[in-house]
Amino acid sequence: MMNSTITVNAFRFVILVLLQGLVLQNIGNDWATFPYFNIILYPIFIFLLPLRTPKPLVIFLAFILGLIVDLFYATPGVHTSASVFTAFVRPVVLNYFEPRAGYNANHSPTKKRLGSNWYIKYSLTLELIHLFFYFSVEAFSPVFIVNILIKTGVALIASMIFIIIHQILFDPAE
Amino acid sequence: MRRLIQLFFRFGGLFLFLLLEGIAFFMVVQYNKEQKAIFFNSLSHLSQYFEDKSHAISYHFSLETEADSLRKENSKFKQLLISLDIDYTDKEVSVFDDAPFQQYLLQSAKVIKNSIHKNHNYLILDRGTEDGIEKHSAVITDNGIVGIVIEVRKKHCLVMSILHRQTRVSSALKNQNAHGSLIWKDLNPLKMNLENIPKHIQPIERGDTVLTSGYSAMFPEGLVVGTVDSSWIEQGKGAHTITINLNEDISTLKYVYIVTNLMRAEQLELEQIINDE
Repeated sequence: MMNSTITVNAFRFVILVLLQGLVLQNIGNDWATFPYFNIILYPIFIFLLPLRTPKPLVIFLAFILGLIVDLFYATPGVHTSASVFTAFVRPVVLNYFEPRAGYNANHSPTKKRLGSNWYIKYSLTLELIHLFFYFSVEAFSPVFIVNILIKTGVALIASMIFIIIHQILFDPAE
Repeated sequence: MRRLIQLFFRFGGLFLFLLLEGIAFFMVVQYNKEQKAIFFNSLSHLSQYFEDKSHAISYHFSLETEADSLRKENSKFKQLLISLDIDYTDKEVSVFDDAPFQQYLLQSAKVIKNSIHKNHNYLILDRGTEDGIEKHSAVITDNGIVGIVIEVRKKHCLVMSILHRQTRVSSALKNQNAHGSLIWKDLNPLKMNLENIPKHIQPIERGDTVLTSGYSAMFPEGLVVGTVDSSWIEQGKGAHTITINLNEDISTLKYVYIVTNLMRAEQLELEQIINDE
Protein backbone atom coordinates (compact mmCIF):
# COMPACT_ATOMS: atom_id res chain seq x y z
CA MET A 1 0.00 0.00 0.00
CA MET A 2 2.60 2.49 1.19
CA ASN A 3 5.12 1.37 -1.39
CA SER A 4 2.64 1.40 -4.22
CA THR A 5 1.70 5.01 -3.41
CA ILE A 6 5.32 6.06 -3.53
CA THR A 7 5.90 4.15 -6.75
CA VAL A 8 2.84 5.63 -8.43
CA ASN A 9 3.83 9.15 -7.47
CA ALA A 10 7.47 8.69 -8.47
CA PHE A 11 6.34 7.29 -11.79
CA ARG A 12 3.88 10.16 -12.25
CA PHE A 13 6.63 12.65 -11.43
CA VAL A 14 8.93 11.33 -14.16
CA ILE A 15 6.19 10.99 -16.81
CA LEU A 16 4.77 14.48 -16.12
CA VAL A 17 8.19 16.14 -16.24
CA LEU A 18 9.04 14.44 -19.54
CA LEU A 19 5.59 15.12 -21.01
CA GLN A 20 5.71 18.77 -20.01
CA GLY A 21 9.31 19.34 -21.01
CA LEU A 22 9.43 17.41 -24.25
CA VAL A 23 5.88 17.49 -25.63
CA LEU A 24 3.58 20.14 -24.11
CA GLN A 25 6.22 22.85 -24.12
CA ASN A 26 6.56 22.48 -27.90
CA ILE A 27 2.80 22.50 -28.52
CA GLY A 28 2.72 25.91 -26.86
CA ASN A 29 5.78 27.12 -28.74
CA ASP A 30 4.61 25.86 -32.15
CA TRP A 31 1.41 27.81 -31.93
CA ALA A 32 3.06 30.87 -33.41
CA THR A 33 -0.15 32.63 -34.44
CA PHE A 34 -1.65 32.41 -30.99
CA PRO A 35 1.09 33.21 -28.47
CA TYR A 36 -1.16 32.96 -25.42
CA PHE A 37 -1.57 29.22 -25.84
CA ASN A 38 0.14 27.17 -23.15
CA ILE A 39 -0.57 23.78 -21.65
CA ILE A 40 0.70 23.41 -18.11
CA LEU A 41 -0.04 19.91 -16.95
CA TYR A 42 2.76 19.04 -14.51
CA PRO A 43 1.10 20.67 -11.42
CA ILE A 44 -1.29 17.69 -11.19
CA PHE A 45 1.61 15.90 -9.51
CA ILE A 46 1.16 18.37 -6.65
CA PHE A 47 -2.64 18.06 -6.80
CA LEU A 48 -2.58 14.29 -6.54
CA LEU A 49 -0.07 13.79 -3.72
CA PRO A 50 -1.65 11.71 -0.92
CA LEU A 51 -3.60 13.68 1.66
CA ARG A 52 -1.35 12.48 4.48
CA THR A 53 1.80 13.89 2.85
CA PRO A 54 3.39 16.35 5.33
CA LYS A 55 3.15 19.96 4.21
CA PRO A 56 6.92 20.56 4.10
CA LEU A 57 7.36 17.44 1.95
CA VAL A 58 4.72 18.65 -0.54
CA ILE A 59 6.50 21.98 -0.79
CA PHE A 60 9.90 20.34 -1.16
CA LEU A 61 8.69 17.96 -3.90
CA ALA A 62 7.05 20.86 -5.71
CA PHE A 63 10.35 22.71 -5.55
CA ILE A 64 12.21 19.80 -7.18
CA LEU A 65 9.44 19.39 -9.76
CA GLY A 66 9.50 23.05 -10.71
CA LEU A 67 13.29 23.06 -10.85
CA ILE A 68 13.38 20.22 -13.38
CA VAL A 69 10.61 21.71 -15.51
CA ASP A 70 12.55 24.97 -15.44
CA LEU A 71 15.57 23.12 -16.83
CA PHE A 72 13.49 22.15 -19.89
CA TYR A 73 12.05 25.66 -20.25
CA ALA A 74 15.43 27.35 -19.62
CA THR A 75 13.72 29.74 -17.21
CA PRO A 76 15.39 29.10 -13.84
CA GLY A 77 13.07 29.82 -10.94
CA VAL A 78 9.91 30.75 -12.83
CA HIS A 79 8.16 27.37 -12.71
CA THR A 80 9.81 26.66 -9.38
CA SER A 81 8.29 29.66 -7.65
CA ALA A 82 4.84 28.86 -9.05
CA SER A 83 5.06 25.20 -8.00
CA VAL A 84 6.21 26.06 -4.50
CA PHE A 85 3.35 28.51 -4.16
CA THR A 86 0.80 25.99 -5.45
CA ALA A 87 2.10 23.43 -2.95
CA PHE A 88 1.84 26.00 -0.19
CA VAL A 89 -1.83 26.82 -0.91
CA ARG A 90 -2.84 23.19 -1.55
CA PRO A 91 -3.85 22.59 2.11
CA VAL A 92 -5.91 25.78 2.07
CA VAL A 93 -7.81 24.71 -1.04
CA LEU A 94 -8.26 21.20 0.36
CA ASN A 95 -9.64 22.71 3.54
CA TYR A 96 -12.03 24.88 1.59
CA PHE A 97 -13.43 22.01 -0.48
CA GLU A 98 -13.54 19.52 2.39
CA PRO A 99 -16.60 17.25 2.00
CA ARG A 100 -19.07 17.06 4.87
CA ALA A 101 -17.83 13.56 5.77
CA GLY A 102 -14.21 14.78 5.83
CA TYR A 103 -11.23 13.24 4.09
CA ASN A 104 -9.82 9.78 4.47
CA ALA A 105 -6.20 10.61 5.26
CA ASN A 106 -4.97 7.46 3.50
CA HIS A 107 -6.49 8.48 0.16
CA SER A 108 -5.23 10.75 -2.55
CA PRO A 109 -7.45 13.60 -3.82
CA THR A 110 -8.59 11.95 -7.08
CA LYS A 111 -11.80 11.76 -9.08
CA LYS A 112 -12.23 8.14 -8.09
CA ARG A 113 -12.05 8.88 -4.36
CA LEU A 114 -13.93 12.17 -4.16
CA GLY A 115 -16.07 12.41 -7.29
CA SER A 116 -15.63 14.19 -10.61
CA ASN A 117 -17.49 17.29 -9.45
CA TRP A 118 -15.20 17.72 -6.49
CA TYR A 119 -12.09 16.99 -8.51
CA ILE A 120 -12.92 19.59 -11.18
CA LYS A 121 -13.51 22.30 -8.56
CA TYR A 122 -10.33 21.36 -6.74
CA SER A 123 -8.05 21.12 -9.78
CA LEU A 124 -9.56 24.21 -11.42
CA THR A 125 -8.81 26.31 -8.34
CA LEU A 126 -5.25 25.09 -7.94
CA GLU A 127 -4.53 25.27 -11.66
CA LEU A 128 -5.82 28.84 -11.75
CA ILE A 129 -3.60 29.82 -8.83
CA HIS A 130 -0.62 28.07 -10.38
CA LEU A 131 -1.09 29.65 -13.81
CA PHE A 132 -1.70 33.13 -12.51
CA PHE A 133 1.39 32.94 -10.33
CA TYR A 134 3.44 31.46 -13.13
CA PHE A 135 2.50 34.08 -15.73
CA SER A 136 2.94 36.84 -13.17
CA VAL A 137 6.47 35.74 -12.46
CA GLU A 138 7.09 35.29 -16.16
CA ALA A 139 6.00 38.85 -16.95
CA PHE A 140 7.39 40.12 -13.63
CA SER A 141 5.59 43.44 -13.68
CA PRO A 142 2.03 44.55 -12.91
CA VAL A 143 2.23 46.60 -16.11
CA PHE A 144 1.43 43.43 -18.07
CA ILE A 145 -1.63 42.51 -15.99
CA VAL A 146 -3.97 42.28 -19.03
CA ASN A 147 -1.52 40.05 -20.82
CA ILE A 148 -1.15 37.91 -17.69
CA LEU A 149 -4.91 37.51 -17.33
CA ILE A 150 -5.41 36.54 -21.00
CA LYS A 151 -2.58 34.02 -20.83
CA THR A 152 -3.96 32.60 -17.59
CA GLY A 153 -7.47 32.27 -19.01
CA VAL A 154 -6.41 30.59 -22.25
CA ALA A 155 -3.92 28.27 -20.55
CA LEU A 156 -6.47 27.39 -17.88
CA ILE A 157 -9.01 26.18 -20.46
CA ALA A 158 -6.41 24.26 -22.46
CA SER A 159 -4.82 22.69 -19.38
CA MET A 160 -8.12 21.74 -17.77
CA ILE A 161 -9.02 19.69 -20.83
CA PHE A 162 -5.85 17.65 -20.37
CA ILE A 163 -6.32 17.39 -16.61
CA ILE A 164 -9.84 15.97 -17.09
CA ILE A 165 -8.71 13.65 -19.88
CA HIS A 166 -5.99 12.34 -17.58
CA GLN A 167 -8.52 11.46 -14.89
CA ILE A 168 -10.97 9.86 -17.32
CA LEU A 169 -8.26 7.90 -19.05
CA PHE A 170 -6.45 6.51 -16.02
CA ASP A 171 -8.96 7.08 -13.21
CA PRO A 172 -6.19 6.62 -10.63
CA ALA A 173 -6.94 5.70 -7.04
CA GLU A 174 -3.59 6.96 -5.87
CA MET B 1 13.78 20.52 22.20
CA ARG B 2 10.44 18.75 21.81
CA ARG B 3 8.77 22.15 21.63
CA LEU B 4 11.18 23.18 18.91
CA ILE B 5 10.27 20.10 16.90
CA GLN B 6 6.58 20.75 17.49
CA LEU B 7 7.09 24.31 16.39
CA PHE B 8 8.81 23.12 13.24
CA PHE B 9 6.01 20.73 12.43
CA ARG B 10 3.46 23.45 12.90
CA PHE B 11 5.24 26.20 11.00
CA GLY B 12 7.78 24.11 9.08
CA GLY B 13 5.63 24.38 5.95
CA LEU B 14 5.70 28.13 6.14
CA PHE B 15 9.45 28.29 6.80
CA LEU B 16 10.22 25.90 3.98
CA PHE B 17 7.82 27.73 1.68
CA LEU B 18 9.49 31.09 2.36
CA LEU B 19 12.95 29.59 1.98
CA LEU B 20 12.26 27.77 -1.30
CA GLU B 21 10.22 30.66 -2.72
CA GLY B 22 13.13 32.91 -1.83
CA ILE B 23 15.54 30.64 -3.68
CA ALA B 24 13.18 30.50 -6.66
CA PHE B 25 12.90 34.27 -6.84
CA PHE B 26 16.62 34.63 -6.50
CA MET B 27 17.01 32.33 -9.52
CA VAL B 28 14.32 34.23 -11.43
CA VAL B 29 16.03 37.59 -11.10
CA GLN B 30 19.52 36.13 -11.39
CA TYR B 31 19.26 33.90 -14.44
CA ASN B 32 16.41 35.38 -16.51
CA LYS B 33 17.31 38.38 -18.60
CA GLU B 34 13.91 40.07 -18.74
CA GLN B 35 13.00 39.57 -15.12
CA LYS B 36 16.48 40.65 -14.09
CA ALA B 37 16.14 43.88 -16.04
CA ILE B 38 12.69 44.60 -14.63
CA PHE B 39 13.79 43.73 -11.10
CA PHE B 40 16.84 45.93 -11.03
CA ASN B 41 15.05 48.72 -12.80
CA SER B 42 12.26 48.61 -10.21
CA LEU B 43 14.83 48.43 -7.47
CA SER B 44 16.51 51.58 -8.66
CA HIS B 45 13.11 53.28 -8.93
CA LEU B 46 12.30 52.16 -5.42
CA SER B 47 15.58 53.35 -3.98
CA GLN B 48 15.13 56.63 -5.79
CA TYR B 49 11.66 56.92 -4.28
CA PHE B 50 12.94 56.26 -0.76
CA GLU B 51 15.79 58.66 -1.27
CA ASP B 52 13.34 61.37 -2.28
CA LYS B 53 11.12 60.61 0.69
CA SER B 54 13.95 60.59 3.19
CA HIS B 55 15.20 63.81 1.68
CA ALA B 56 11.77 65.37 2.11
CA ILE B 57 11.58 64.15 5.70
CA SER B 58 15.03 65.39 6.65
CA TYR B 59 14.17 68.68 4.97
CA HIS B 60 11.06 68.87 7.13
CA PHE B 61 13.10 68.37 10.28
CA SER B 62 15.67 70.91 9.24
CA LEU B 63 12.82 73.43 8.90
CA GLU B 64 12.69 73.57 12.69
CA THR B 65 16.25 74.85 12.97
CA GLU B 66 15.68 77.01 9.93
CA ALA B 67 12.70 78.65 11.58
CA ASP B 68 14.67 79.05 14.76
CA SER B 69 17.46 80.93 13.03
CA LEU B 70 14.91 83.08 11.21
CA ARG B 71 13.24 83.94 14.50
CA LYS B 72 16.61 84.94 15.91
CA GLU B 73 17.28 87.11 12.93
CA ASN B 74 13.82 88.58 13.20
CA SER B 75 14.36 89.48 16.83
CA LYS B 76 17.53 91.30 15.85
CA PHE B 77 15.66 93.38 13.28
CA LYS B 78 12.84 94.11 15.65
CA GLN B 79 15.34 95.16 18.29
CA LEU B 80 16.90 97.51 15.80
CA LEU B 81 13.52 98.97 14.89
CA ILE B 82 12.56 99.58 18.49
CA SER B 83 15.94 101.15 19.20
CA LEU B 84 15.54 103.36 16.16
CA ASP B 85 12.23 104.50 17.62
CA ILE B 86 10.46 103.91 14.35
CA ASP B 87 6.80 103.11 14.29
CA TYR B 88 7.25 99.95 12.29
CA THR B 89 3.53 99.41 12.01
CA ASP B 90 3.53 102.14 9.38
CA LYS B 91 4.28 101.07 5.86
CA GLU B 92 6.82 103.78 5.16
CA VAL B 93 9.81 103.45 7.39
CA SER B 94 12.33 106.23 7.62
CA VAL B 95 15.81 105.52 8.83
CA PHE B 96 17.80 108.14 10.64
CA ASP B 97 21.41 108.71 9.89
CA ASP B 98 22.68 108.97 13.43
CA ALA B 99 22.66 105.50 14.94
CA PRO B 100 20.90 105.64 18.32
CA PHE B 101 22.16 103.96 21.45
CA GLN B 102 20.71 100.58 22.08
CA GLN B 103 18.13 100.38 24.82
CA TYR B 104 16.38 97.08 24.21
CA LEU B 105 17.61 93.57 23.63
CA LEU B 106 15.28 91.03 22.03
CA GLN B 107 15.39 87.27 22.24
CA SER B 108 12.99 84.86 20.64
CA ALA B 109 11.44 82.23 22.90
CA LYS B 110 9.03 79.35 22.60
CA VAL B 111 5.85 79.19 24.66
CA ILE B 112 5.86 75.98 26.71
CA LYS B 113 2.80 76.55 28.85
CA ASN B 114 -0.01 79.02 28.52
CA SER B 115 -3.29 79.62 30.32
CA ILE B 116 -6.08 82.07 29.51
CA HIS B 117 -9.13 80.90 31.44
CA LYS B 118 -8.15 81.74 35.01
CA ASN B 119 -8.24 84.98 36.94
CA HIS B 120 -4.48 85.01 37.02
CA ASN B 121 -2.89 83.65 33.89
CA TYR B 122 0.74 82.74 33.39
CA LEU B 123 3.02 81.52 30.62
CA ILE B 124 6.22 79.53 30.75
CA LEU B 125 8.90 80.18 28.14
CA ASP B 126 11.96 78.16 27.21
CA ARG B 127 14.54 80.83 28.07
CA GLY B 128 16.20 81.42 31.43
CA THR B 129 19.22 82.83 33.20
CA GLU B 130 21.48 80.89 30.86
CA ASP B 131 20.13 83.04 28.03
CA GLY B 132 20.52 86.22 30.06
CA ILE B 133 16.84 86.70 30.80
CA GLU B 134 16.15 89.03 33.73
CA LYS B 135 13.19 89.50 35.98
CA HIS B 136 10.72 92.21 34.88
CA SER B 137 11.57 91.86 31.21
CA ALA B 138 8.67 92.44 28.83
CA VAL B 139 7.32 89.71 26.57
CA ILE B 140 5.91 90.78 23.22
CA THR B 141 5.04 89.40 19.79
CA ASP B 142 4.91 90.91 16.35
CA ASN B 143 1.29 91.88 16.92
CA GLY B 144 1.11 92.91 20.51
CA ILE B 145 2.19 92.53 24.10
CA VAL B 146 2.06 89.34 26.12
CA GLY B 147 3.26 89.89 29.66
CA ILE B 148 6.07 90.43 32.13
CA VAL B 149 8.73 87.96 33.25
CA ILE B 150 8.28 87.47 37.00
CA GLU B 151 10.50 84.49 37.79
CA VAL B 152 13.61 83.21 36.04
CA ARG B 153 15.21 79.80 36.40
CA LYS B 154 18.15 78.23 34.60
CA LYS B 155 16.40 77.32 31.37
CA HIS B 156 12.86 78.62 31.76
CA CYS B 157 11.06 81.69 32.89
CA LEU B 158 7.61 82.38 34.28
CA VAL B 159 5.63 85.15 32.64
CA MET B 160 2.68 86.94 34.14
CA SER B 161 0.28 87.25 31.26
CA ILE B 162 -1.45 90.56 30.56
CA LEU B 163 -4.58 88.45 31.06
CA HIS B 164 -4.09 88.82 34.82
CA ARG B 165 -6.26 90.63 37.34
CA GLN B 166 -3.31 92.69 38.57
CA THR B 167 -2.05 93.81 35.19
CA ARG B 168 -1.44 97.53 34.87
CA VAL B 169 0.20 98.50 31.60
CA SER B 170 0.73 102.13 30.85
CA SER B 171 -0.81 102.71 27.43
CA ALA B 172 -1.78 105.52 25.17
CA LEU B 173 -4.22 106.27 22.39
CA LYS B 174 -2.21 106.84 19.27
CA ASN B 175 -4.29 109.68 17.87
CA GLN B 176 -4.85 111.60 21.11
CA ASN B 177 -1.56 110.88 22.84
CA ALA B 178 -3.51 110.49 26.07
CA HIS B 179 -2.19 108.06 28.67
CA GLY B 180 -4.09 105.54 30.68
CA SER B 181 -3.59 102.10 32.13
CA LEU B 182 -4.58 98.84 30.61
CA ILE B 183 -6.37 96.35 32.85
CA TRP B 184 -8.06 93.03 32.34
CA LYS B 185 -11.35 92.47 34.09
CA ASP B 186 -13.79 90.74 31.71
CA LEU B 187 -12.11 87.34 31.69
CA ASN B 188 -12.27 87.51 27.92
CA PRO B 189 -8.87 86.63 26.46
CA LEU B 190 -9.47 88.88 23.45
CA LYS B 191 -10.52 92.04 25.29
CA MET B 192 -8.99 94.43 27.80
CA ASN B 193 -9.97 97.76 29.31
CA LEU B 194 -8.23 101.09 29.12
CA GLU B 195 -8.80 103.24 32.20
CA ASN B 196 -7.94 106.71 33.39
CA ILE B 197 -8.23 108.45 30.03
CA PRO B 198 -9.52 111.90 31.11
CA LYS B 199 -13.03 112.88 30.12
CA HIS B 200 -11.94 115.90 28.09
CA ILE B 201 -10.07 113.81 25.58
CA GLN B 202 -12.44 113.74 22.62
CA PRO B 203 -13.28 112.11 20.32
CA ILE B 204 -12.45 108.49 20.94
CA GLU B 205 -13.59 106.36 18.09
CA ARG B 206 -13.97 102.72 17.45
CA GLY B 207 -10.84 101.40 15.76
CA ASP B 208 -8.39 103.87 17.31
CA THR B 209 -5.02 102.25 17.90
CA VAL B 210 -3.81 101.69 21.45
CA LEU B 211 -0.04 101.66 22.00
CA THR B 212 2.21 101.07 24.96
CA SER B 213 3.29 104.41 26.35
CA GLY B 214 6.73 103.71 27.69
CA TYR B 215 6.02 105.39 31.02
CA SER B 216 6.59 102.06 32.65
CA ALA B 217 10.06 100.63 32.62
CA MET B 218 8.71 97.34 31.32
CA PHE B 219 7.45 97.70 27.76
CA PRO B 220 9.18 99.64 25.03
CA GLU B 221 7.25 102.61 23.81
CA GLY B 222 4.96 102.46 20.81
CA LEU B 223 4.10 98.76 20.65
CA VAL B 224 0.64 98.14 19.26
CA VAL B 225 -1.66 96.61 21.85
CA GLY B 226 -5.03 96.66 20.10
CA THR B 227 -7.84 98.82 18.85
CA VAL B 228 -10.71 100.58 20.60
CA ASP B 229 -13.87 98.51 20.58
CA SER B 230 -16.22 100.82 22.44
CA SER B 231 -16.00 103.80 24.78
CA TRP B 232 -18.43 105.70 26.96
CA ILE B 233 -18.38 107.96 29.98
CA GLU B 234 -20.07 106.65 33.07
CA GLN B 235 -22.15 109.10 35.04
CA GLY B 236 -20.21 110.86 37.76
CA LYS B 237 -16.84 109.69 36.58
CA GLY B 238 -14.03 111.77 35.26
CA ALA B 239 -12.68 109.25 32.83
CA HIS B 240 -13.68 107.22 29.80
CA THR B 241 -14.52 103.56 30.07
CA ILE B 242 -12.89 102.00 27.06
CA THR B 243 -12.87 98.36 25.96
CA ILE B 244 -10.27 97.39 23.45
CA ASN B 245 -9.79 94.39 21.17
CA LEU B 246 -6.38 92.86 21.61
CA ASN B 247 -4.35 92.61 18.47
CA GLU B 248 -2.76 89.32 19.45
CA ASP B 249 -4.78 86.24 20.35
CA ILE B 250 -2.83 85.09 23.38
CA SER B 251 -4.51 81.68 23.40
CA THR B 252 -2.74 80.70 20.16
CA LEU B 253 0.76 81.94 20.98
CA LYS B 254 3.69 79.78 19.92
CA TYR B 255 6.68 82.08 19.72
CA VAL B 256 7.32 85.33 21.50
CA TYR B 257 10.13 87.83 22.05
CA ILE B 258 11.57 88.65 25.44
CA VAL B 259 12.60 92.30 25.69
CA THR B 260 15.37 93.21 28.09
CA ASN B 261 15.54 96.88 28.92
CA LEU B 262 19.22 97.77 29.22
CA MET B 263 18.41 101.16 30.76
CA ARG B 264 16.08 99.74 33.33
CA ALA B 265 18.48 100.01 36.25
CA GLU B 266 19.04 103.67 35.55
CA GLN B 267 15.35 104.35 35.20
CA LEU B 268 14.55 102.55 38.43
CA GLU B 269 17.26 104.40 40.25
CA LEU B 270 15.63 107.69 39.34
CA GLU B 271 12.21 106.40 40.29
CA GLN B 272 13.66 105.38 43.62
CA ILE B 273 14.52 109.01 44.30
CA ILE B 274 10.86 109.94 43.84
CA ASN B 275 9.78 107.23 46.24
CA ASP B 276 12.36 108.22 48.82
CA GLU B 277 11.21 111.77 48.98
